[in-house]
Amino acid sequence: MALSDSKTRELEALYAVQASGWVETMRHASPGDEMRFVAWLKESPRNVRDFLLMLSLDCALERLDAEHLHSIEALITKVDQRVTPLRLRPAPAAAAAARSRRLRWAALAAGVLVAAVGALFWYAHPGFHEFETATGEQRTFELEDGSVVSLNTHSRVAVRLGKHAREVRLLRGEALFHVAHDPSRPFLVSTDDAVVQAVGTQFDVYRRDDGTVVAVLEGLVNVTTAAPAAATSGSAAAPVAGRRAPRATAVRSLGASQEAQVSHEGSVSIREVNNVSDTVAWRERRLIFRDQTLEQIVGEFNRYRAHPIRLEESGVSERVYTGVFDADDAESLLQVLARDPALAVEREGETIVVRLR
Amino acid sequence: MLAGMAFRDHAGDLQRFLARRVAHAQDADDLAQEVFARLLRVRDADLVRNPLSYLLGIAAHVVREFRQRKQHERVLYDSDLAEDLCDHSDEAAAQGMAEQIELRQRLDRALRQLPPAHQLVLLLVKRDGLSYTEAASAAGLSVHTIEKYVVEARARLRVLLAETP
Repeated sequence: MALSDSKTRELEALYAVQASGWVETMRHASPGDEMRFVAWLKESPRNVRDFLLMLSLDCALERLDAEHLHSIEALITKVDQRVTPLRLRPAPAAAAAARSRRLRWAALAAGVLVAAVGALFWYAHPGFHEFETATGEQRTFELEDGSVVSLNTHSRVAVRLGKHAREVRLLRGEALFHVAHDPSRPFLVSTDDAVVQAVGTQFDVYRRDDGTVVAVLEGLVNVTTAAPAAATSGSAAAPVAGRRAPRATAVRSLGASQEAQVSHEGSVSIREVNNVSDTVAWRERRLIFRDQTLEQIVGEFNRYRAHPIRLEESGVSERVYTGVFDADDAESLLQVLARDPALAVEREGETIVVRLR
Repeated sequence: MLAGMAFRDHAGDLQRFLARRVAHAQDADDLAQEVFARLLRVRDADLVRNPLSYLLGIAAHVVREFRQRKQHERVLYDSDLAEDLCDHSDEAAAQGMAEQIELRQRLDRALRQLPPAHQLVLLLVKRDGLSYTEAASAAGLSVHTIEKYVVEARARLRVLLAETP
């Protein structure tokens, strides 16, 4: 099914970044890189084409501006002017912090159906193919139905395209889905907390420690909550002693620029988000924070890091910052923090610790 | 420039072929389709040992086949093979030159559309041939950021070139 022009263009940009990334990686590839590279090439002729063209462009770039029309000095000045210092602010009252949730999840979506049978159901059925990313890695791939899945860092999905449904299980992490339109086969994305159902649309699903966040960029999705006990074990239907009995599953519709947070207990909160593009800034490995606590910010950075940044003492976690960062460049965050007279940034081997002075 | 090196070693033909086709999807699609089909026939164990030279070797081979096929087609139109080939090669050389110049102009136009930081990094690394470490200290950025900007800038150029034939 044909995607709209704007989607096509956005996808082209995504594929281009991916191919360009491989040209970079293959300059100094490790054996692991080479294996992943081969696997990626064998995914589709399109990857072969994109890589060859990108390599060719890379060669052509050596003749870039042979006449030396561009001045490095002039550009450096321009770049400096564009550096906007981050706004550093003391932690405001708790109310502001609570309101500050993450805007990146701008839009939400989805309907979750699920699954007293939960996880067991999926594994009992053959035909799922798994895709995953390592810490710090991102990947985009196209499914046979033309839908496109982008996996964020440290994420895993199992996919099965059946006659009557297209099923994706988000096993870990976060994924953005561009769903090819096919009314005869709904596209279902499930976590332990929720099932998101779409026909043709674009939405992001993030499996967090405290629940599942669904954001809709385009179109409509239905979110169905899972019964709380469903995900945990085979005796899914039996309420766990000491907990409430599972409430009836709820189906909620989400439109563009809406975001739903589904807790493990099955509660759903839906809100409007203003800045939809923040939601998927991660595809450009950009992290955007608006009035968020250092705990939330560092939590996001740590998703991309083999050695997490640690915050010590409670006074540190609640400090609130606003800024735009590269996910790969924790140094930029640390430099900002180091300038804060109240904070000390220390390195203990590979680990970085932030504490109050 | 490992990749660039391997690329050049492998096939000037291939590079010229592709350089012209950054904006012409059909030829590149056909080429990629054929290369892809052949890649699938190579065992992973072999492929993984030196994927880049396998890939480029196969691609160069396919390009040669494509050309031969084209030349055969031409023979059907013109019985005077020698003259035809001769004309053709002059024409090709002239055409190649014109394309080089045109590509350079298009590159420059696309370059101007990038954000200044991306322009800066590309010029330092590609035009001036600085290493990433040297570029990082010249631009006051981290090596990591340099690498990231190279990846992004190249991707953006690719999209811009594809959009403006």
